[in-house]
Amino acid sequence: MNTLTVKDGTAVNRLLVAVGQEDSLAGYRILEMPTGFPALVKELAWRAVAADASKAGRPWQLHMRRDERAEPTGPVIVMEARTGADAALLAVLPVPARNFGCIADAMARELNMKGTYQFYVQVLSSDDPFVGEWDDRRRGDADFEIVADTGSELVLPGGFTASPGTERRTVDPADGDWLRCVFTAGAFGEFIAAAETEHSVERHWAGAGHVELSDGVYRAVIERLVELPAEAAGKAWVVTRGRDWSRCQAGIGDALVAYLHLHPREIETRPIRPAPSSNDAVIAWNIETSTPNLAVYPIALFGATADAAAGDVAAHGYVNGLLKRIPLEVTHDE
Amino acid sequence: MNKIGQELTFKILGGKSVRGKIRNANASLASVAETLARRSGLAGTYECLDPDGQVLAPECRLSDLPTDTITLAPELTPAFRASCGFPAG
Repeated sequence: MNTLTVKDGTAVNRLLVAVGQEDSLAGYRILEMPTGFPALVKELAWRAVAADASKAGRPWQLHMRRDERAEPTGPVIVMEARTGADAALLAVLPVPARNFGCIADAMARELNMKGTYQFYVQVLSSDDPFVGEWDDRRRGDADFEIVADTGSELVLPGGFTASPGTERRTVDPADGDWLRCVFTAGAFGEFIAAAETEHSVERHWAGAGHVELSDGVYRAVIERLVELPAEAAGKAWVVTRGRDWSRCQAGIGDALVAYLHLHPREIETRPIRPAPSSNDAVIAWNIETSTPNLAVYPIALFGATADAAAGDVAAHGYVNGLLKRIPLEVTHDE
Repeated sequence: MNKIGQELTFKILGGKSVRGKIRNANASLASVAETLARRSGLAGTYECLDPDGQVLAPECRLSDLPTDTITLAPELTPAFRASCGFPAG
């Protein structure tokens, strides 16, 4: 096991991701995890307040270590949330190293790599000289010198409800005991009504609502749908300009808990499921940078009805670094 | 007109920001914004906005920027086509 000693005030929050082919290194990055993988760091923070709600609003530190484990998980990056001068442990999240594949994938694409490639992840301490060299190279840009960056500051989230909320019915009983997508009855009715009548455009919405934490479960409760202005950009895809998304996000603020959209039932005769495409995953990544909440991503197929919702509607969310299908529930109240 | 040494602040939706100093006033907004967008965890395409939400031209030189606060606002493109990738840090 690769162990790094926790030092007072020294966060261990850097991750080296290297990619290569045929035993030859092609490139590497050193990520500062709060901005390098926002959804993963947020999940750890929310698990920490789920374990102890009294810690909400406190500053915290991210500590990581690589743990060599046998299959089926293989090597694991153990992420820990710690707080205070004594670095008291709040929560632990073991993440299989393979779950950082999306980072490696983007690197491979940037490097124009073809075919099969390998990637490797390793934890680095923020006071590692290698990290210092990396930061110096990136800070000393010839055009613009960075003097302050708030992206690395970590504060445990608050603004959630601790009660279990009203009774719910399950629309999609996906596996998972942590993250749930919940609609109020009115919001679900609006979403399904839009899907039922749509046959050509991937309409999309921001979901405003609140977060419920109870019994170790995180529920993103969608109360209101805010339709996003969109321009048709091609067959079965639309674009919302940054200026329009910025205006929408400013209006919702910390109540942003979801991004919803519709899918056609097939693309060029290929059946499509209510699951995120690679473009949808890019949106999810950016949504996660713009809200302190763990967001959820419901998708409904064109023509979905309330009666046939199961199979035609599904929700996904980031769990352990992967965009996975999660349980979808609807409350009974209006 | 912005000068060498003048500070600019780049904001990311959600409250985070990066503040820095101009070293090359002739550099384009696009070149600086691209680096900061990836550093800040944004993926895909985005627009640079002034505080009123107006779009700033990517080719605009830092010396010609009408504001010292720029927001990086990602574009949302739901589609069933593999095109954009995640940031790599």
